[in-house]
Amino acid sequence: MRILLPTNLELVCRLQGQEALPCAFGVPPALRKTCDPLELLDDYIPNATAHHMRFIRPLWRIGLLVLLVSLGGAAHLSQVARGQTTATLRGIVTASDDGTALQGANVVLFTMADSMAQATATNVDGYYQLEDVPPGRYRFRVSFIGFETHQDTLTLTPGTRRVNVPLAPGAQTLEEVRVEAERGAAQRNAGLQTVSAADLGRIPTPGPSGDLAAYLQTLPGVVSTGDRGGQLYIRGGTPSQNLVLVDGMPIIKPFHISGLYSAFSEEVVKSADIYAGGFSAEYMGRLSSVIDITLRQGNMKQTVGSASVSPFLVSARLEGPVKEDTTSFLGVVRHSVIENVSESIYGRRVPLTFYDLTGRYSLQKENASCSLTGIRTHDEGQINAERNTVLTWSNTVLGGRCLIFGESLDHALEVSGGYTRFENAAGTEAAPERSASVQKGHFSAGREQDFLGGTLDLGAQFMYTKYGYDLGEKFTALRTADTYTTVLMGHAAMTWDVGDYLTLEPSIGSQLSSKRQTPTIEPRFRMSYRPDGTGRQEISLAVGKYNQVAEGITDERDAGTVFTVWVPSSRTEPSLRALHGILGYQQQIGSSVEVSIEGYGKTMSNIPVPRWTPVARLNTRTTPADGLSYGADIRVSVDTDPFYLFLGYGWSKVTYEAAQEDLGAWLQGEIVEYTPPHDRRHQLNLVGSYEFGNFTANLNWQLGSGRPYTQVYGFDLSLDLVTLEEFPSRDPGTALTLFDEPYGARLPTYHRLDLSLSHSLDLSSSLSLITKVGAINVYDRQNVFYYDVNTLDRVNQTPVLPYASVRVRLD
Amino acid sequence: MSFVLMRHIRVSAIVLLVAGCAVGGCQNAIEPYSHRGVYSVYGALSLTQGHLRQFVRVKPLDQPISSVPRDPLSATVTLENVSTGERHTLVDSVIVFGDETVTHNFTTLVDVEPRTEYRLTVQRSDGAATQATTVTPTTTEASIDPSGFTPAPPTDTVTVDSDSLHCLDRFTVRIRDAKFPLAASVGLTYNGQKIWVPQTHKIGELPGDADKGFEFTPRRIIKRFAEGDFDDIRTCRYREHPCRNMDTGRIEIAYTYVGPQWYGERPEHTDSVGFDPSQTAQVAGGLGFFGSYFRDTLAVAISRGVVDLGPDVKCPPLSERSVSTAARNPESTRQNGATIHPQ
Repeated sequence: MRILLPTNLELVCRLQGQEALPCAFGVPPALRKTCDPLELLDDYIPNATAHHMRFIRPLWRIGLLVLLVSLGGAAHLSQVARGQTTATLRGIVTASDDGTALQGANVVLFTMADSMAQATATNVDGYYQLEDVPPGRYRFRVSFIGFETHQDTLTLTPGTRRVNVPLAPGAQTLEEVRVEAERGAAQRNAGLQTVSAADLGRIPTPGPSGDLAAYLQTLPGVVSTGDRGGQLYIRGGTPSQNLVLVDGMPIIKPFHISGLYSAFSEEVVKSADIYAGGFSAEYMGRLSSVIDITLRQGNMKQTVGSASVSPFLVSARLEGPVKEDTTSFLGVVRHSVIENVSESIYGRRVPLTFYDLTGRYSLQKENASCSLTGIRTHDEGQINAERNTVLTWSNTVLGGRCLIFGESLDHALEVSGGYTRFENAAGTEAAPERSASVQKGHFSAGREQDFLGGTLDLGAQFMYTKYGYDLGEKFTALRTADTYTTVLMGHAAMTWDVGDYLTLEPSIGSQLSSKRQTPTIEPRFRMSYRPDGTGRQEISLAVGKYNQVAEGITDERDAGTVFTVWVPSSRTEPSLRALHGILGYQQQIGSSVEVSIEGYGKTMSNIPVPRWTPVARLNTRTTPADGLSYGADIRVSVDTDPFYLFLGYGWSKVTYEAAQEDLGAWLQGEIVEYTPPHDRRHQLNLVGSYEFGNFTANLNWQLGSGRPYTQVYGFDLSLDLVTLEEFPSRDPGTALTLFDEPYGARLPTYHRLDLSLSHSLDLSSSLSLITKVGAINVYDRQNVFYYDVNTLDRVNQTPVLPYASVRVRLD
Repeated sequence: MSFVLMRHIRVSAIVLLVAGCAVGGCQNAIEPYSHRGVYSVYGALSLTQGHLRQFVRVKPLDQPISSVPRDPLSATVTLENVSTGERHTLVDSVIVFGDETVTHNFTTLVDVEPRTEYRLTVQRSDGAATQATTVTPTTTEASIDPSGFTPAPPTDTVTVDSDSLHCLDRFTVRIRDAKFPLAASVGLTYNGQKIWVPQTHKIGELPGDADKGFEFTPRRIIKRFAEGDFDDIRTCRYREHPCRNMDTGRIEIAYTYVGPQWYGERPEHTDSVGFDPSQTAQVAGGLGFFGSYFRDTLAVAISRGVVDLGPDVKCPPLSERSVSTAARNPESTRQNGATIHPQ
């Protein structure tokens, strides 16, 4: 069989300008040594220290070993498969109108006596696989909401058979067997919320299409510290504890400086799995939550596009086939214009500029589904327009992912690799005082296989990261440094279905960092129990242990900046770790009402928090703290076409505690307990959507209790009388702004209503015009963002913001 | 249709606004100040007799630096002898640094007693107050060896005059029963300038008893600011110098010691910007520092004459020898930590 590993080695060889060497199995040892990728790595990374390379060397080899074992397992099982006596059915389910893969389609095999033999649902690539099917005749049925059901009769013989299914758009089909997500319906399961592009479109935003950032803020448990800065806290976790993946590649901070937007608009997102906690070992490296985004494939049938303009941004989308039914491209560009038009339209300056570029090349062939994805985002602006602090950040993501399911493989093999870069800076516009960056190169491979009556998912990831920062001379804790780390991550996850009632998903993961001496061991467990054997009623549970071997340091005390320094965890200190526990219950009532309730708890250890110091100034010194976050939320959704309503209420409490001596807080006692700024106790979210004729009205109302903030103790001119060498009347003293105890007061209640009304007009069979009017903060609530102790300004969030947008769509 | 829709939107907005107010209250103000502190006070009572005035700087904590008014503060500042109940009201005086840094410095001419508790009260017109207390230090005895002379402090400068003391001699300053922190400087006039050389870093427990003190040699003191001219004691330059260029033979020793509630060590979290106000728990209803100290000066007269280095040393006439850098460059104001004040 042919696997990708040798190809990868060849790539490294070629990077060095050497002739590609046959580094595959069976190569004589001498030749292998010649193209030892580690030696090439030594040359390729000239700045790597000897100390660092000492860790890279074993890690690289361990990584190779893990990949070889994993992939070798595939080869071995493939051999076994050649002698199999049962049948395997696999394929891709696509939409026949645009050729794109359908995720969540139900695939069922019935016996000729009409009893269900096997069932599954397609994954993000539209891929399905039914295995261990006794040879014989079956009725084969593929269905998906909004599409005509495909039915066929298959005669299966021992071996593997591929059946790709294009589904034609058509009447809605009600399934007698509900296997997985249905199109447009958000799904919940022990901390997981699965959302689709349609969900994003229900949230009013002052642009032509919905956005993931706006959607996330409607979820109970997701706290934004303001409508600028792009900081999202999920169930007590900080932004740097959230893992954001796009097509399997990490992206550090994809949320724009305007809190309404991210790099993921409705136009590019296919689906997103949002784990507020309790995620399995498939996701490693972050402590709190996962946002796993899958981008759309470009249209495989015809070239289509759209262009739009609004007071906030202009955007354009173009997609189409490169080779019909096989390859396609998708390109979306969005650029803000609010800074240019705000004075003339709204009568005040809004100093926010951002853009994002997204490109995706998709390939869908008989034995593989691949994609190449590139994303570039840039943000620049001032959170407080009166303060001369300009924040900038940018993300660059470039990489590819392939799902390979060739004849020789008994199970699909998933490989991905790429490059991620994040930079941010703060200071005056012309000369930033401080900057920090993260660069990652990563490669991963994973596959599923049958094991002990269930499905075993094995995966390994190799990640090389360079951290850099330059904080200027005025900051004493950290100044300038470049640090390199190599992390090897691996996981094994089992899924057992016990009849229709119970699904057990134990998993275990490990991270081995060159900056740490021992690997982490992270066992996790997810379970769902369906009392009636269907998905209409479900009790779900998730528990797990989580580690994070890199830290993002932000001075949360200053709401006027979101500048973040990323550093690897200290070799000598314990890494960040957390324990999650989630228990949820979900009930579907009738065909349109869904109710869920979920309780959760997270304990977090060694999280870096800013050393307090009563003196207000940027602080890059941190101290480890322990955190506890717990709460519960209730969600009710009613989805009766054309009416949709979502009501969510969440109660939560987040506390941190640290040793007073370490924290340096202006408080008494050995242990200081405080509530961090994202401790919002109560949240109520209401989302409504109503379609009538060619109109769609959307509503979003958010209500949140006040978040903690720190009051100013006073403004002082401190005199140093210690030595009495200076006569005080000759000394003006040192000007100090002094904080009171950390987060000792709470901001007023936050609430805001956003509305929009859109109208779609078909100008021709392929050209349509979508107009949209709406307003953010309809009743002009003066929500406090923060009080700036430097400028003595109360900084409010967005006032009432009416808008109108136009989009032209070519289908 | 649009009219109906707009009416629904308006009604919905009103309902949600009312709901927001009902749940969270319509109160939307933010209070940036905690108001736990009223004033910052910085001052130290001086036990030294003849000290012109006691000094306390007062600043309202809720006023940004640039907003402090030049008008007298609407505050009453009193100094009370806790033992006798005797009170004195301090008078406001404004010192402006630069264009906009306005400071209010309250003063009084009252003398304070040793080993006595004093309470400083700064009361705002609405009754809110900041208070601080301090206990003045005990009296002490200071002496300079080898003279063995012991003055009776607090007192004016004491002169220990002896023709037998010379700039090569080692002197020991002994301060009895004093507690750290102590500060001391040695001063002399040199080429028309008054020079103070800090000696605080040398203060320690004296061997053999519990007294604090330090040792110094005039030659080494002068070397600190006139380095380069007196490199080698075996050269004949040294024979008349360094003491030769002293304007007088008088050497002064200024020392300061403080009351029992003085600062401790600086906390580590301050990042070297000022001190940590959390260490000022002695100030109630505010922050800052209120202490007391005693400062006095001793003096000793030494001979500026030729040092007899013994019969084997032959030196050329004085007129052929060099003079010090400080003498050639009277504008030098600080060398090696020495503070030079023009006479």
